[in-house]
Amino acid sequence: MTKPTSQYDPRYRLDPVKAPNPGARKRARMAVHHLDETMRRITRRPENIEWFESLLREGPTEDSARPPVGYFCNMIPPELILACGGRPVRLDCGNAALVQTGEEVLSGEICPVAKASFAMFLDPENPVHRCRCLVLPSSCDAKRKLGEVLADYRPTFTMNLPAEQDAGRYLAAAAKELERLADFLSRELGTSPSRRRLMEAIDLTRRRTALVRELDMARADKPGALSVRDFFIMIQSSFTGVDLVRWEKEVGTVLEHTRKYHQPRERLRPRLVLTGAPILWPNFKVLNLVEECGADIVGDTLCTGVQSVWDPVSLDETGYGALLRALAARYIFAAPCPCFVSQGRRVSRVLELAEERRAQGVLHYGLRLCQLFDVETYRLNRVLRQKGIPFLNLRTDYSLEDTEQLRVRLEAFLETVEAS
Amino acid sequence: MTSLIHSVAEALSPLASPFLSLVTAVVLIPAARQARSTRIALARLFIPVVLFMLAYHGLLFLPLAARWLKALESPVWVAILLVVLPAMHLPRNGDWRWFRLVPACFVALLAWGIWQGSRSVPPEAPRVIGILVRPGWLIAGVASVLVLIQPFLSLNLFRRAVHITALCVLAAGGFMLRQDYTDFRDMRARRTVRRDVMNLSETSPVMGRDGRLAYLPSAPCRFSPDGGYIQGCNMELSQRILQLNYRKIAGHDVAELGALEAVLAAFLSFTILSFLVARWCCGWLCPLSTMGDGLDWLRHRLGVTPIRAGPATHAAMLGSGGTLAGIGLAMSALYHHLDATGRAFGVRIPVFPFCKMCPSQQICPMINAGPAGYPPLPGTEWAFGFFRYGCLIVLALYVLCFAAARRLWCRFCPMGMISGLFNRGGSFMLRKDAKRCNGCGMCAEACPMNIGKVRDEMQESNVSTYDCVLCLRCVAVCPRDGCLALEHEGHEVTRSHFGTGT
Repeated sequence: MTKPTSQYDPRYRLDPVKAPNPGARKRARMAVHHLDETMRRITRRPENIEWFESLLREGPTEDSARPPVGYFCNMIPPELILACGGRPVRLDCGNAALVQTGEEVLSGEICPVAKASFAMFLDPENPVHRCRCLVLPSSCDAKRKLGEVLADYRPTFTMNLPAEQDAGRYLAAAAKELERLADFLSRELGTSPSRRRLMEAIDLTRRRTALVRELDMARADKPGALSVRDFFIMIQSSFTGVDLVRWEKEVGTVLEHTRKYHQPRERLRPRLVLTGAPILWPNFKVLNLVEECGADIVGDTLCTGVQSVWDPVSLDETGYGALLRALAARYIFAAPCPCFVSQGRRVSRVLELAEERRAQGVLHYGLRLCQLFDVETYRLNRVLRQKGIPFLNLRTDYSLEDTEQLRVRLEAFLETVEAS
Repeated sequence: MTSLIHSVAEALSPLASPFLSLVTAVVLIPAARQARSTRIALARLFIPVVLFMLAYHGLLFLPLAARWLKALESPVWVAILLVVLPAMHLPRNGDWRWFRLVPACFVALLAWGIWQGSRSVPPEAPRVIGILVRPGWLIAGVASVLVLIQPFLSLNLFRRAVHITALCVLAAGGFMLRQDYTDFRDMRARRTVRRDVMNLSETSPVMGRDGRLAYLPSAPCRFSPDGGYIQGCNMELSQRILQLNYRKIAGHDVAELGALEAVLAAFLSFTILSFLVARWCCGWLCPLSTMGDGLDWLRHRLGVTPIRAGPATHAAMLGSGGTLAGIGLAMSALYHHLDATGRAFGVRIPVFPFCKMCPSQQICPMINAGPAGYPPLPGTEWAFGFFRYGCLIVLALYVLCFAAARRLWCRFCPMGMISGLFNRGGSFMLRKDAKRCNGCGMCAEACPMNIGKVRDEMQESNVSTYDCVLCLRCVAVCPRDGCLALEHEGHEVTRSHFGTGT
């Protein structure tokens, strides 16, 4: 029996809906298999990429005493979960086959990420049920309402976000909210986050940032050294609750592999910056298309891509309260998420990347049913046009039906990019 | 040999003039940077310098000009011109290794100076006297050591190193900054004068034999164990200007005119230095902040979150600090009305009223004497107990501010208020590339002065503010490479850069 948190009205708690659906499970495996087949065609892959893929497929194999804690979005600080003795597992799901199952129970009119993520809970055999508790921010409407639904399954905490990314006004409030989250986690996990453990966790994620930055700069220099899809797999595999020290070691091997790469001649493939909605394994439809059409992604602002770990938690003061403020500063106030009032963060990051990485165009991945990203293309499109940077908005969902249509649009876009 | 060294030093004396450093930093270096080739750049740099030196020697033939120019000369300027400015402005490329010869030479000179000093000390003197060294060697040598170790230290560690070095120079200054053993003995003789901080001769400037002072802005206090050659408190200078008897000056009194000359020369030198570095001295040199940082470090280690004062407290600190400074300075204007019993208009006031309120005057004597050096508390007969309780309250405020609220004290400090005038419009500029900003706000979190502008400014690139002490913690903590930078005369000195060490 799970303990209800005071966030949701306990009078209307429901028994969790569970629907064993072997067909859906099989289709989900097929989606993964399909991606694996596609990825096998990449010419130059790191030899240990299979290890990263297995993390995404099966989760970390090593037996860990740390209980898994599920979280959604990139705005929940995994350091807090680590410091409470948990294993942070990001539950955002990109499996196209699960969208439909989620749709049947929840609603058709919410975004595929929420639907697919929820569908994992419908399957009684899914490993998500091993999570000790769940945490999600009140970022978009779907996430805001999903908390109460998931609270029927596992103890869930919905973290309130400020609507405005004004650190001067709301940092204290956000840190207060993180303190509440820390209390929730320490109640559920039985360990309270100490300063020392928090700093150790921050040190771990800072090292991850350093590694990812190094790889990213190597890729920006020679995009042929590592496929962006493999890079995404590596980054997203670090969200599976894997021991980050082990992960670092494997990434070190990839780094070696990347350094050994010699670009045979001048690379003529157009360089693009990717922005927009999260691209979650195994839904790499857009990434596949871009690389198959002969373009390189040299930078992204995705909360599931390089951007998700690009910013480190900066440390100055090391008191417990100050550490929470530092976490809030990095995870909430530096987030390029469209759920906030102003989209300045993301626009300037896109412009910075386009200039710094010498990108020839910007590609926007709009996830159907996510109004937030959709509305943001209004300004992004116009600002980029003012700067003379070609912009393409690909609005799609998880299904593969429109792949060829997208391919035609992308090819046309790449032609204009190359011509300019 | 000695006469040769002497004449070379005399020929190079324009290097010790503040005007050459000012012209070099503000005009010559920017002009040289715009040159198309290295050869033109060197020509733009060196031809005006040679012309300046010739003109300087020409001016020395005029007796009045010579007196003023000589009064302004200080070894600090040699160190700034030859070591500090090139270290800030030279690009850190392959040619950097050639520049490193300059500080290395100064370090060698420092070692040679110490060796020379140790030979001139008679055997019966204590062995530590062996490290007596001329002020010029010491100042340039210390600056050179800092420049040489800088590449190996993170920004925060480097700042700490500068802090501690400055404190050491202050503490040992009176002892080490001596021309030779005789000068040292003279200083010891002067120090046998009984310490009485209220009407003391101890506080009057303890000059070297040449009667010149090396001025640093907002740094060492003369109440440190024999303030020695290094003086640099703008409030103390203001106080001395107010203490002069202008009636006597109008009557061409020679002694008073000489005092006015010394103070004005110091003030001019000081203003030029303030223009070049602004409140950087508050963040990197000030001994009060170094000692306060000890308390801050303790709080930091204990993991106590600092108090973040709001704008109302900031305004109150500014107002009360300014008011207190005004009272102190107004009292010092009564100096020449003091009668034989130390009373002016029936009220007993100390010789240096402002200094008596400053915590530096209470803390600095303890640097080498330990707690026993704490000056005796003034009795209640001094301005109706104003000084007895006032100085205790100010000291308590100082300790409290540094122990709990980082640099809240620096919003109270009138020295900083004056230096802050050069924060915008001076040589240093804190620059923000808003395009690279991720809005996390860690710059404001790390700021010990609680300045929000660096975080909030998204349009203007100049984010210097009046209160900024240029400690560069914001630059050290910024997670985005190149988002924040410190610029000196338009040249980037350092910039934010992510590294795994914190």
